[in-house]
Amino acid sequence: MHRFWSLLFATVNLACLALLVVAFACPELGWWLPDSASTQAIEIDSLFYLITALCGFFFVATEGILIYSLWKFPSTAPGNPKPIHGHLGLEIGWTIAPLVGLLVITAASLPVWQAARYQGIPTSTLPGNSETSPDADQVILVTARQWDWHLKYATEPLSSEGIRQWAAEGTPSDLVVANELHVWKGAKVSLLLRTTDVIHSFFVPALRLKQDTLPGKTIPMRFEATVSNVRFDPAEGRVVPTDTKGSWEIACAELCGGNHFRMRGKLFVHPDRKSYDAWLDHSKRQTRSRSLTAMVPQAASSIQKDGFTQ
Amino acid sequence: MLGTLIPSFPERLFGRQIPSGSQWRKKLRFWGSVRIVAVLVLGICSCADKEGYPHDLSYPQRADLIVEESPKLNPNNPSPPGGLEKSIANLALVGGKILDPIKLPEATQAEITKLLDEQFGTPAQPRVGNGKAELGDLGKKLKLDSQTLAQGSVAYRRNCLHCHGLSGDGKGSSGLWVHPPPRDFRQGRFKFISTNPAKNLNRPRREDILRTLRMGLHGTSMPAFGILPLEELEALASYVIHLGIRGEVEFSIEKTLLKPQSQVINLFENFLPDEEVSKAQETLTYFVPKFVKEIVGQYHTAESQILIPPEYPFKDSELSDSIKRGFRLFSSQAPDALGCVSCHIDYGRQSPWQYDEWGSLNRPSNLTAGIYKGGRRPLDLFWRIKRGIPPSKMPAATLTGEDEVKKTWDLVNFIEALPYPATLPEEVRNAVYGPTRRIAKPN
Repeated sequence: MHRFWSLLFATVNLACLALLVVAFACPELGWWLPDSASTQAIEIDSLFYLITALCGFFFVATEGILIYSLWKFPSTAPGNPKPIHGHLGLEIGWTIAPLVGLLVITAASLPVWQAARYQGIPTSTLPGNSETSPDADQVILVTARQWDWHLKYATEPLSSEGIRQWAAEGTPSDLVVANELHVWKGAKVSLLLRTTDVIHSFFVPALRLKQDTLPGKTIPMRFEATVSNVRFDPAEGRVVPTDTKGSWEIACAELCGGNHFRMRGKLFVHPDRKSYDAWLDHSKRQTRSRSLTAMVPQAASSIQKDGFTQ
Repeated sequence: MLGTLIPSFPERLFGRQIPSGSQWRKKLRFWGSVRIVAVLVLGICSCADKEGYPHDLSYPQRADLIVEESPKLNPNNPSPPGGLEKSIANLALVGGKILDPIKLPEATQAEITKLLDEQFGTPAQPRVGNGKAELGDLGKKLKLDSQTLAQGSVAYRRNCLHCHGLSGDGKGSSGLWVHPPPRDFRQGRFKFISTNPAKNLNRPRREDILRTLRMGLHGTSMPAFGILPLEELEALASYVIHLGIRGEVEFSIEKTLLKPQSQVINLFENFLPDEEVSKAQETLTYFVPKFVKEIVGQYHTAESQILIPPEYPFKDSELSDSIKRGFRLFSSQAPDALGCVSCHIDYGRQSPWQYDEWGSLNRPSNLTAGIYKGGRRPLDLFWRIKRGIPPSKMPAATLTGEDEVKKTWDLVNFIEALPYPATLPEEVRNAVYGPTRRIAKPN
């Protein structure tokens, strides 16, 4: 019984390592990273692996020493072990080693951060700046509220300078969709994040994109999807999944109130612009049309037509 | 228990020696174990019972005040958070009429509850109609069969309960704290409907309820549920109708019985043939099933009575003139003006608070904000204008004459363009936003 603690620590640590190996080796369990579907996803994943490897090494090393010490020197063992307090070499060692580790992580993560957060963001969306910058293929204004996402799609081309004005005022022809983010593979998408009430966080795991929305601010984000998961089926009038990947979730990643758990949306990546345009046309017909029959083709035949005159 | 497995548990908790066998030690050991067991039990509980209501739960009897007539006066401020019930209780002081269902004789209350349970089942096993042939296939046609309703009740519990409450009274645990208050379904009244006003049906179509579920009510706390599977949305719509009918039967009976010298007869003289009126007078048991059938019939009729928008009469180039005409119709100056602006003061930016049918407060929409509760499609705007929002006192536009169609679309065009100054004709923009408002140049 006197080696209880060393056995306990050893068991728990081995179990954790075994879980890690299983999670990594069997992706079908879904215990490892979610699908990665954007250009920045690969870089962010590499960072994750780097940090996991670094931390994992030191974790295993320290736990190993701890378990060994518990085993070797139980409280019932005779005599006292030699203390290491005041060992100058050791202290220098464990100050320098983490410092080097942290510097490595910093050096590796700065370019990723810069690429994910600043490259290609239309500078006109940043306050006090109206410079031209690379045009986005798609501009979407995401407005978070308790508890859903309203996505406003610009249906007419916008110049870099026009984005800010559009975000502020919009036009009557904009398409507003709840909880559905539609983009196409390879499109440079510019997102503008806003909230009408509290702090939310727009999190798309498949894109490795996560950003808080702050009251009073419009926060630009940028991504480019590399894998598609749906296409628009004109016959059925809806998007259909193209492979087993099915749907990618959009989640709120900041506790925002009682219904935070169901503040979710879906990401639909179309294979090409054609499919996206078909979806956009269809949605516009559904929502912008001034005629019931254009909107619901079967309405004409199935509904009595004595509606209007009084 | 667990505390005894680790002999030094109390010491580890407090980091100091506690005499063995002392009262303290026992207490610590006890509470430490309780803490561990509680975490385990909570963990297990959260895995269980994800589906549906408990089977022994029944719908609660209505105990809150009935608003018979809301006051005409406009108050200055909405009731403070959580204060709706209190403000309803005070409605009589400002000219409203309220009734208290608790004042009904206990025997009558029990009878009503029994009859309602018979017709509508329990939250876990909801139904409409008592299962006999009374409703015919109406229930099936409206998707009010018990299978769909049971599915709806599970989805309702998960998604809606915490605001709209068990009986659909809008008083769920979160519901008290949001404004506007969540809809109380128990009067069978819905705001955003597209049925033909000529038929005098104040009923929603299923499609109206589904639109609200899919898109939410922008500008309120009702979120969009569009990513739920269509089947679940349909089931939810059915369950909401079920709660609406149940609440309406309860509401109507109690309201009638609470009036001085009233009789059940007042309720149904509109729809029962004469010889049945005398029978129904005797007993609620006879009356309730008939009443349920009548209401279900109305919902069913509403399905086919969509108010079809007339063909859009304008070319794109005529839009600007149409907006100008819509602007004049909206104002109160022109001879044929509708005077919308007398409620939507300053285009809604300074709208006054007013009471709705439920005794809660709302105000005419701020139309410059581009936020439309009932939907932003041109057709939604069309239905709001032609249909009004009866429970919140917004009247339907009374447009007459041969230009009726054009005038309606003029209004839709104006309201649709109103939040976007850059798209308004200059004279309209100056009138709405003032000449000094800086309009950024379109690109």
